[in-house]
Amino acid sequence: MDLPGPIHDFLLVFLGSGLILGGLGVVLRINPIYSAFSLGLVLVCISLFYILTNYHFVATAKLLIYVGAINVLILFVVMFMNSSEYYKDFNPWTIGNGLTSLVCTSILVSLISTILDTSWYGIIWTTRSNQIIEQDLIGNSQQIGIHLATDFFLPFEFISIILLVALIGAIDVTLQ
Amino acid sequence: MAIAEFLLFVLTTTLGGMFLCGANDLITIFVAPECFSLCSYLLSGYTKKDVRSNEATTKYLLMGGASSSILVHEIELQEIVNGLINTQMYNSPGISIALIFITVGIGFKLFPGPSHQWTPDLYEGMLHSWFSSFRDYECNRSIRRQKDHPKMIISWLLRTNQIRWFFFSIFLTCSYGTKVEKIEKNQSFTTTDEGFLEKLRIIIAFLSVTSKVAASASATRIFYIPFYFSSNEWHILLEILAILSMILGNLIAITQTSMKRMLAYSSIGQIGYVIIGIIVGDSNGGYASMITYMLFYISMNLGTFACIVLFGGLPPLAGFFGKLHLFWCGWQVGLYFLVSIGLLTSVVSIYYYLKIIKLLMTGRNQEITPHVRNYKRSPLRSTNSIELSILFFQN
Repeated sequence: MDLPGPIHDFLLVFLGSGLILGGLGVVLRINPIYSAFSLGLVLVCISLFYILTNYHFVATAKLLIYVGAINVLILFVVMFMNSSEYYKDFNPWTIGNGLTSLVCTSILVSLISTILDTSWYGIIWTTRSNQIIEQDLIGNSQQIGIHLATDFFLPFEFISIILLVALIGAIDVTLQ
Repeated sequence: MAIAEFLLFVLTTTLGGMFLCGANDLITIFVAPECFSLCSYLLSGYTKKDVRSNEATTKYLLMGGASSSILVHEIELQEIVNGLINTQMYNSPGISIALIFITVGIGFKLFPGPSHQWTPDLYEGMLHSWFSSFRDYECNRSIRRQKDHPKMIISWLLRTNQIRWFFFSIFLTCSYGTKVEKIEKNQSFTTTDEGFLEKLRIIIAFLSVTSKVAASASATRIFYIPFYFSSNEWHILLEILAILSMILGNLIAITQTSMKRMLAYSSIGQIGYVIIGIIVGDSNGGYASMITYMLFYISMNLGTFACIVLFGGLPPLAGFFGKLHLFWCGWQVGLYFLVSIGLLTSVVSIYYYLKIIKLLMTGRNQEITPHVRNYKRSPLRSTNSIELSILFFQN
């Protein structure tokens, strides 16, 4: 169930610009609370991108987890910090910043060249032809559920043990 | 700081290591080291009152978190690569990027060359609490009775439990071959509450060993099965890692003054030798040599960390056979450069092991030497069992 053409393109441009603006806001804003909220905007835009690629379950899951849990945690941590100290000695350009921008720009250029060089249509049509026809009649969420309950059952149960240990560890470390 | 949580974390760590060795798909290869690392962070920060252990935990946690995220991206790339292999595009840059990511991700757990920064701080922080309690106990000579002396108890603990730990570590490494998923760990602790936690510190040293074992077992499976077609590339990568770790570990260990950091750096060097075994691969018994070397490494390190002043002459002797087999396999395959560097760094490592022994014999604490005599009997027993197991494996 793909989105019709104009809505698809509009959402792409809208979310892409929101993503770039949010990213710049995270990096360039002085007050850390504003940059944490910009991070929230970035994560929302990334989650909504998955609707464009027809993976509604992943979009919802990313919204819940990234924005709802991880960003909230980041905001908690940022609010413990005393943000008024940051206005005093703010130097926008250090050598570390220069090196980081160089590395990030090179990653960007290599990514763009790799994406433009690979032939995506060949890959998509080859993988589409490998799927069984029945799989299109079952929804995406149901397929994920089927795989979790059959193929990936062992890691799924093992994750529950990890969660248990994380809970106990968090309490144990912070208990006086 | 109750005992129940400590035991829970130790058991879950081993569970994570076991699952890693017996992993069959990429999800488990991600989830199992996550479990292992999480429990290791909790174990290393167990003594909240000691600042140095908190520092060690924070460093370990940050590096572990970063490497887990890299590993996750690698897993995602690996799935893409599987799709690409289905469409028969063997030479795409995606495969090499996935390879680099997974080498970095696994490289953290094994700590070869470039990712070794957190190791000495971690060992120093974890064992500092053990040593400080040890020293306090020793200073109160008046209230101490001879049979409660920690050194006696610890050496007794080692002598009775060493064989059990040895078999347990064999199971850990053999789970790679036979896919044993769970095992009961039977250990009996002495029940005096006062020195109880101090004795349990030995198990923290166990961490350093299990992470290596689990990670190297998973590394062999990962590098050989999915990345079969690009074997030249990961050979070069692993060679660079092995050279870096051998040289860095052994050279920096010479200049160390603190014994714990020296042992941490020597363990970094050991990983370099293990990586040679991974590179050699299945054909000439490379994996078998790696496993036997891991066995030596396990018994050596357990003995080392637990009785840190009672090093003895054990490592150059028993570990020698393992190294010999490793270098022989490497020479057969044709990795002449690697093996020659390994030989050079082994000579260097003998230098700082002997420095420790010299410190023992002419040392400050004259009362350690009776314990050396007491302890030397048990390593001889363990070397016999090690040689028996070598013969068993090679036949």
